[in-house]
Amino acid sequence: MNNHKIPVTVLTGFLGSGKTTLLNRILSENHGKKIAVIENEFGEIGVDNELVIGADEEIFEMNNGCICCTVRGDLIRILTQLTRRKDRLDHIIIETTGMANPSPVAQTFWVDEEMQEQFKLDAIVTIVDAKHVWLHIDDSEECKEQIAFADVILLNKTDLVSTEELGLLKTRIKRMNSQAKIHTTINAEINLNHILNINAFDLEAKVEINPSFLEEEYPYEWSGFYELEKENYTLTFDEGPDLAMDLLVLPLPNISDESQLKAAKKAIFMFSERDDVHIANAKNSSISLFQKKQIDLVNTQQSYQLSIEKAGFYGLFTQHGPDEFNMKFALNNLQINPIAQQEHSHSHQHDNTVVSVGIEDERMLDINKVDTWISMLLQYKGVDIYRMKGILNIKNNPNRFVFQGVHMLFDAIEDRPWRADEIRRNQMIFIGKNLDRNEIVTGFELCIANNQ
Amino acid sequence: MDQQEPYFIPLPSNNELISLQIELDEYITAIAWLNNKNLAVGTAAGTLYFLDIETEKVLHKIKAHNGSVQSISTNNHNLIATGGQDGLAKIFEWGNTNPIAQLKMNAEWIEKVVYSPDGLWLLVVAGNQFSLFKADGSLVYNSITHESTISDICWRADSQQFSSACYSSVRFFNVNSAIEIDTLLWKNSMLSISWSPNSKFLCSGTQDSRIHFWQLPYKKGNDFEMSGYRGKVRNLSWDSKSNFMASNCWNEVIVWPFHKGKAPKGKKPIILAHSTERVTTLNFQNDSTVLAVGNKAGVVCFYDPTTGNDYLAAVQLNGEITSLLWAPNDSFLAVGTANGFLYIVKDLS
Repeated sequence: MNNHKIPVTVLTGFLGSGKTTLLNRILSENHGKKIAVIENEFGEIGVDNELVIGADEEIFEMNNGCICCTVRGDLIRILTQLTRRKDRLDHIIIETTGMANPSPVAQTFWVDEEMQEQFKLDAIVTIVDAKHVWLHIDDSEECKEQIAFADVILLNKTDLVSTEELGLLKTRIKRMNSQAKIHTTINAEINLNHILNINAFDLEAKVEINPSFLEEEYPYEWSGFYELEKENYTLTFDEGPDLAMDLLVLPLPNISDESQLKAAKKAIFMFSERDDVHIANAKNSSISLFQKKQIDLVNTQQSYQLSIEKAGFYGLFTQHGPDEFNMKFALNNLQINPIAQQEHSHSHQHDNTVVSVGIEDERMLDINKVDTWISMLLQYKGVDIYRMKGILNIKNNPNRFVFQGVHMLFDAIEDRPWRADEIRRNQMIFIGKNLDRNEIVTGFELCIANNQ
Repeated sequence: MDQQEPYFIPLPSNNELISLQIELDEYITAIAWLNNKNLAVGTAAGTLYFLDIETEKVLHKIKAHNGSVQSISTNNHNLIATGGQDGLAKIFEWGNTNPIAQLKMNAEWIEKVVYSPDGLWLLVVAGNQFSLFKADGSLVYNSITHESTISDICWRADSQQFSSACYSSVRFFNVNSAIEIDTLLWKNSMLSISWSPNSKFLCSGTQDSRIHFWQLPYKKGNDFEMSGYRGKVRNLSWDSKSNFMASNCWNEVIVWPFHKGKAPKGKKPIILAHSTERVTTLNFQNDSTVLAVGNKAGVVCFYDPTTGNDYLAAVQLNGEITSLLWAPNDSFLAVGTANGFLYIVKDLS
């Protein structure tokens, strides 16, 4: 995308979240820019401006109803008309209806060649009513989609909620969309630089992936870190709400935060291994290092042996919280307590909850394998993947490889060279529903280049 | 449609063909000839110009609309209808700067105004409704509300029937009744529709990279489509004998042969040699097979598909070509550009 294209911001949010307030603010602010607003219900905006245009949401299905080829016909017509003038507009804002799925709007700028030629999708901005969003966030697909698609989220009306409520909401939203930049506002008061000219869809601009995304995404619920001697330890479990759970033990060089984090990342990948790896030894009552173990929780009071060959620090990772199964970790019947422990929200979802699935890995990838994997992934999961973004470390290539997409629509380019002072690492984020972390990670593992 | 690469050749500029150049106040959005020497031109500033090409003068400059002039049509006698981004259609008499009728429609923008070929009727399209007026602006009837915005409307040559298109359907009406004669359902986003001059075909260009034909009068199964376009198809133009229908997508100009009144099913189209620039508009002459094609780079090329796919001449103008229209006797081509220039280009002969 190049600079002479007119940037377009898509503004989403439920009715009453503050979209009109924000639009009135944008139009009345003295910014010196010629901004056109396409609003979903004409007349809501109080500012008299000939560049405020009403639109009826007209969804055009193309390509036999392919979801990624669904576009907004009304927008194509209006935007085409808006370019029929000598003086160029500086920016266009499209307000969607409160119940709109943002994808047809976004896709309009990918699928239509004239739109691509003249406009660039700048960012999707979602306004969330910090007090009332809880009424919709669990049940409304549109609410979830608006949050999942967003590049920027404004938590508005924060004066109506407590600090604790706001913290809870932020945590919830970050789990759904770990990449969006979140701003808190009252009366939609926001510096326009935070919502306009974001370049979120521009691969030639700086592609960034929030490095903290992994903190939001754990396939296990609990980890405990122990200092253990060269001994035989026992683990016992009572019956719990699940039939079985996975467990993993990893050694650590020390108990520092960095070591714990490294072990945690290792555990994430090991938890994502194919199940057939450990089913074979499920009956065995011994636990080995580096091997994910499926613990039987039907036969209660079952004990498992953990033989430690070398004294040192070890991390124990369990799929479910140990309290649920009354887990006891003992040496000679004396319970051992961890030096440090962490509980994690369990986001290995198979329901329709919107989540972010992130991958971070330093191993080099085979570009042909990546191509095959992404093609397959989009073919089978494209409907459920709302947004994705990635920076890839490709073998035998000095440059970063960056990509982003909306549903099955996908853009990728070879980016700038890796700098000498940065670690070459893959970072990928997939935001959507029905996403299976194991499935995505397994696909990723198949893309690792040989001989490294 | 078979994909074949058009070949590209450097364009000579036959600028001796340009007989007049006038700079107007804004992007030219619409042109309509009243007769062979007078024409009306609309701009994005909402201005309506009356021009005389013999004296090479702007006779009147009228602030016709708030917002852009969207569409202009004349009754080929003395009336000029305009539609604007202010939700108004206006009717002017040639030489008079005050409209004789002002028609308020139930939508923000007028999409199209179009007089019937005999000049007796005027259709005004706004949003998902159209209204039929007599030439002077007296209302005949308002249409039903279509399921979505009416993307195009066009007259049959006899001025007794016309068709409207919206997402997923084409409707047929006559001038005597607001009740539609027929509705043809077809799930697609039609951007344009066009009757063949012999009234045997109705053709639609679509957002979905294809064109669709209905052979008329329609019997089940008597429709077909041509896919393989590389992008949406907005522009359609028939030659006067209904032997050719020109269309384009992006930089390709594709002409379908309809010889002897037969649909082009199974036939190869003629792909005209054009530059890499996006084609913006095209129009056959009223009484010959000369086709004018305008592009984003400001070039107008002339072709005759009966003599091959190469162009006959080309002129380089100032700004993206936004509209082009032949005078009734084909002696001149009026061309408008995005930079606000109006050109009068002589016929090649």
